[in-house]
Amino acid sequence: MKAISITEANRCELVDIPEPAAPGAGEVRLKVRQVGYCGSDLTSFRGLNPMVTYPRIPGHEIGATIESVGSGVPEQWKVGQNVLVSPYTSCGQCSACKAGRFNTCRYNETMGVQRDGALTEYVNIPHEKLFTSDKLSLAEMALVEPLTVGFHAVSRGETTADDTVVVFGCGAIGLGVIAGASARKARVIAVDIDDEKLALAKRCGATDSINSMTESLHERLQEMTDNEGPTVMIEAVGTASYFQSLRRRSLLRGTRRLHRLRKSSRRLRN
Amino acid sequence: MKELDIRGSRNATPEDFEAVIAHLESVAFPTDEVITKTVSLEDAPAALAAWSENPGEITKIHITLD
Repeated sequence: MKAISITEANRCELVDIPEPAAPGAGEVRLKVRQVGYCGSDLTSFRGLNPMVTYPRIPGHEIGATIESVGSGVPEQWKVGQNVLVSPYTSCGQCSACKAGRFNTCRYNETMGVQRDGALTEYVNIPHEKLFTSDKLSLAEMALVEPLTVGFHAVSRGETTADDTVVVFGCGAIGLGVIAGASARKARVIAVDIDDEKLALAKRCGATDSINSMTESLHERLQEMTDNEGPTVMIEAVGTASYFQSLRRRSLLRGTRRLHRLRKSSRRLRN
Repeated sequence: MKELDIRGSRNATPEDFEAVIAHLESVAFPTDEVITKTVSLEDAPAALAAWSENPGEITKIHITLD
């Protein structure tokens, strides 16, 4: 079957690989139908992802149809059903797992990163990793996983309708943050340097926007918040230097919650 | 004076997946605009290389296998 493989840094090819074996106990075989490229796939392609070895099949933003079902899979999962996938693993033994924080498992293996992903015709997946909706298209299903990253940051911020949330960066991750904060009825101020991205941010749920290239970020935030400043700030640009500058900004006053998304191995240096 | 709470956020939980699904089911999310372009599996390698050349022009690339 066909697959996409990042064979080495800056080299990506269409390859032919064996089909997976019949789904094992508790697994389903998925016919992969729609996949989104993640920023981590781009980082892997560029040779900048230290968690990746080559060759690697990328892809963990998945819309698929159940092709066959292994033994012991609950009846809710049926052949022909459209599904999406959580691409993570958790060991159950590390300190994070023992604390119930499975999403931060020390030994997590994300599809397309530490193990092969879904840019191929068929994959076998444990049924516990499946989600479905009878209302979403396959494109929307493949969009769910990247949006969860932002929703999780909003959850970490304990965001409520009483919050004013500033979101720095309106790429795919930032848009998920905006949608997540919007879902909790918070006031959402989107910040970017690209007016088109800010316009899209508003359609994703931002109530206000600031172009930090053409406007004074500090002054605009003070104006928008009656000089109180925002209550939650979420950094979704993805550079350590940006986070450092954010932390130093004088706009941070009072009790504030400041978050940094981390989906790659980039580390904050003190 | 500030007393900041600084938190990291990593990956996502099953509850986050359910929350996104419920959100997409209930609002008019601009899916077609967030997905900058959709390409075939055969064109996926070139699309990745092109994204690497011009990262600022892409929000999301989808690959269809249908």
